[in-house]
Amino acid sequence: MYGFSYILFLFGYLNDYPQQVMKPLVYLLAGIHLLLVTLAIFHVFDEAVSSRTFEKPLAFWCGINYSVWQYGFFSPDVGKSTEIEIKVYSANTKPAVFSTLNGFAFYTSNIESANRFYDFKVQTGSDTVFQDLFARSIATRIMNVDTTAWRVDYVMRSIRYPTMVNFSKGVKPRIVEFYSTEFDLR
Amino acid sequence: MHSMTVLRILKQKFIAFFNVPISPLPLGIFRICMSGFALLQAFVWYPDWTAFFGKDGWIQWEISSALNTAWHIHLQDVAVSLGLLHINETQTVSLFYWFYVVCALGLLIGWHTRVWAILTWLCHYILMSSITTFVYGVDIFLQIGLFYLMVMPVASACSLDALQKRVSSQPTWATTLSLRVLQIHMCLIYFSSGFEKMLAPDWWTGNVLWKALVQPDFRQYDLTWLASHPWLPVSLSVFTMVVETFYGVAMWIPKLRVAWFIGIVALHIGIGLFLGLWLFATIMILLSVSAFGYSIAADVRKYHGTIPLL
Repeated sequence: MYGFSYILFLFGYLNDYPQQVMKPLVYLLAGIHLLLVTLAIFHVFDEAVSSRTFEKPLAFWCGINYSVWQYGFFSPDVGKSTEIEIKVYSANTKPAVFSTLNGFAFYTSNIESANRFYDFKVQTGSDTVFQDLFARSIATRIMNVDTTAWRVDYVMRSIRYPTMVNFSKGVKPRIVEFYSTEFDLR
Repeated sequence: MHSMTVLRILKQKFIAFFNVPISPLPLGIFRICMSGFALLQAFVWYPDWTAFFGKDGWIQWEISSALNTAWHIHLQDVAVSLGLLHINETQTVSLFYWFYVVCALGLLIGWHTRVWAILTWLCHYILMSSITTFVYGVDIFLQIGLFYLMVMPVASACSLDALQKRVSSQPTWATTLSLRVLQIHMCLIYFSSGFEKMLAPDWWTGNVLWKALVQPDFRQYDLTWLASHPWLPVSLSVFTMVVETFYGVAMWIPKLRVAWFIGIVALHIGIGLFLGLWLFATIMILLSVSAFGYSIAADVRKYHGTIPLL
């Protein structure tokens, strides 16, 4: 219905329909749009998003205007962090070690570009297929940037921060290696 | 009888709220804020453009296009089309950047605004579809803003279209409805964000905020000492939840609106300062300015005399 109203609106707009026709249609569209936003934030579409029938139409419409999207910024799992360590072996030098814990920001030029890797790390950390695909992709990129590189080691570690109370008692962040791979060009 | 009168008055107020023509100036400001932000983001992205969008960028096209749902347009699709004109992938990525900048610039000055609005939205849509792994809040809010610029009468103020009389600058029902949709959407966004936090016990103990401040992804300063003063993260968490959840109420109450707006701006400056998410903070402030800035300026003018430039 929403899509149909849009088609009607565009048709009317392009054909310069009079206001008596367009005005109710525009109000109807605005009402449906805000209704969609409201239903989405109250999780009405949660099941539909993962269903086979509605997954693609909803994803498509979400890309258009994000009316079917939830805005839970900084959700409770924000304390989960991921470290990526990359070891690059180049000709005649000791391997260079880059870690996201020590300022390594994927060779990016500014903090805004580096921020984009937060979601990348979250996605990579939760899906084994992504881990393989992205590690391969990142290693390829590094070998393209550093043409003398002949080997790249790629390691991912999850970091879980303790609560404030436990941190005050001396509990350290828990670091666990959960993925490692290496790419050798020899 | 009395209840019928109340209902009639409420109905009239409801219709007037969405229908009585108001100045198109807030929509002009909205257009300038969003297109200006798109340009700022493009400028910040420029040095790393090929690293993100290039065929052999961080996530190569083969992988990013495979991750895409079938109905999205990827930069690879654009490259295939331009390939017919003998433009290669590298040239496509570079051309696309400058085309996006030109579109946003056309939208900023408001010259044949609707055309540039549609093109800017389309470009941003393709960009988002091409790097789904790297998309976060800032892109989502820009996409929402650009979608509205495409369908709303945003050329009616502060534009060359209005200056050259291509579009009317008169207040109409369409300007009112557009502003109301933007305002209600902002209220829903903040309500959702604040209420979801309230449902999480860790937000009430301040632990989520503390972890966000100390974890390496967002850490700007060493704030681990906050663990010894938990009242501070707890207070800031409660402040965040209250300001966000009740944004949708406070922004309609003239005597509260200014204070709440200051609270929201302070919250986002804090996000920029302590979490390093400056672009995200900027777009959220600009969206609030676009939605309620005009009313806030009127409130300030009413209570504290006139403001220059308004």
